[in-house]
Amino acid sequence: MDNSSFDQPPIQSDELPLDLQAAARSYANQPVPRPSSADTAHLIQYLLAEAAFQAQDTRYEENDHLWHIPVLARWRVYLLGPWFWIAGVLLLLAGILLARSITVSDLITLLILLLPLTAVLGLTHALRTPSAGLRAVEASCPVNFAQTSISLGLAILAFAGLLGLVATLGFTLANFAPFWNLLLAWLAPLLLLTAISLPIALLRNVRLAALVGGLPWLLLGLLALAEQNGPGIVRLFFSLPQDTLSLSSHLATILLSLLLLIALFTSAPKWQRFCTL
Amino acid sequence: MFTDEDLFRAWQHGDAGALETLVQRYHAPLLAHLSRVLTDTHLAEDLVQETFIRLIRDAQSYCYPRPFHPWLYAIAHHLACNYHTSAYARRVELRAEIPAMQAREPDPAEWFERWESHHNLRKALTHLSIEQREVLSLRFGQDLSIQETAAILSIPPGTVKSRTFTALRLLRSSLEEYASDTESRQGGKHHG
Repeated sequence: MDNSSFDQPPIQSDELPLDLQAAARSYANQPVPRPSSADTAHLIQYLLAEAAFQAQDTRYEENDHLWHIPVLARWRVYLLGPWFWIAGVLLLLAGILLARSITVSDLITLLILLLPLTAVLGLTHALRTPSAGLRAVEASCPVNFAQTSISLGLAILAFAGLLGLVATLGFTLANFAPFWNLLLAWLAPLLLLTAISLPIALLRNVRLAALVGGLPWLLLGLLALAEQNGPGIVRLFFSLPQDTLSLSSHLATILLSLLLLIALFTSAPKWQRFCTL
Repeated sequence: MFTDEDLFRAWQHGDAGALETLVQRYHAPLLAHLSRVLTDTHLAEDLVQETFIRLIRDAQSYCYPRPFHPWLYAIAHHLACNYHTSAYARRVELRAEIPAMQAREPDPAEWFERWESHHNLRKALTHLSIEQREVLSLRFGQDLSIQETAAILSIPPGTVKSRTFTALRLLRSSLEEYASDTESRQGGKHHG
């Protein structure tokens, strides 16, 4: 590799002021590495071998890449460290403990409000913050960047779901709420907000994902808590589904969100190149 | 002479020689571009290889006569961005590389002067964002037009212009600062 050769391309300086032309010229004149013909020949050999391997294994990889997701999910969960998960539980508990008057209705509202928020905030934090060993996992696994991020998102979703399930069982045993109604009440927003936030976090940025996925839901939740005794329409989002219409809308939301997540999960190799994360 | 698009179509139809020609055409420019963007030659070499591998893997998504050049550079752009935002890149401190002095260099003083200006430029470049470095590399390193740069980076031509101006202004002020540091250091030496 010749590392000291100098490229001197012409400067397209027609639209630049004179003072900037000098900076552009210094930039263009900086030495850049040039591969030797042996380097290029080596690269060609490598690529041809890779292409032959690729052609042989295309069919196998198309079906196989999904199986890497659980492996990666396990690693990403491990790399986030215990405090990430403890913080998720604390966020949920703190919200409940900070409520001024804890009635059963408040508890249910808070559970429906905080579970999706925990998932969205956890997701954006985890995608934004690097952890030790992450690059090694990224480099060692034959799946792409989007898949590793989606695997992490699904692990966080599963964690929030597990927390919700434990809380729902507790509520049912204490006769606070029927199991299936409460399950549907938090599962629908949890899946929907995750399905919305995850692609935004990957394709745009994590702050926008937190804003879109978390802020409206937080405001709606606070509004619902404020008008606890009123007939407000916002309460519909944070109460148990009782009638057929409400039940079916929750089920439809869950199905739609699951479809979105499955589509993201399976088509990741196709849109990975558009990721900005 | 075959166009890039013809060659890639031939590669899609199984002509290994077409890929060879494409690699010969683009290996050096792509390495120069990524080296400028990432300010790290070894990393640039890795990403050049990765860019070509992605090209092979995504070969089926190419539809003739889509322009090949912007497509290839867009792949390199996404890989560079992915690397830059990866956990590893955030922890690695980019260092200026010291080129080996060649036999044809005129004399050590001149070589050192040139190395120092190169070193200052590299240091100044680390103050630019990866987006700004990419625009500079495509515009002045690869000699592409504003429209071609905009197509590769998927941004409007106006953004290319403004990003170029901002990057050059930053570069100029950093270089001026380093130059005055060098002068004061040399002045101090002379006084000493």
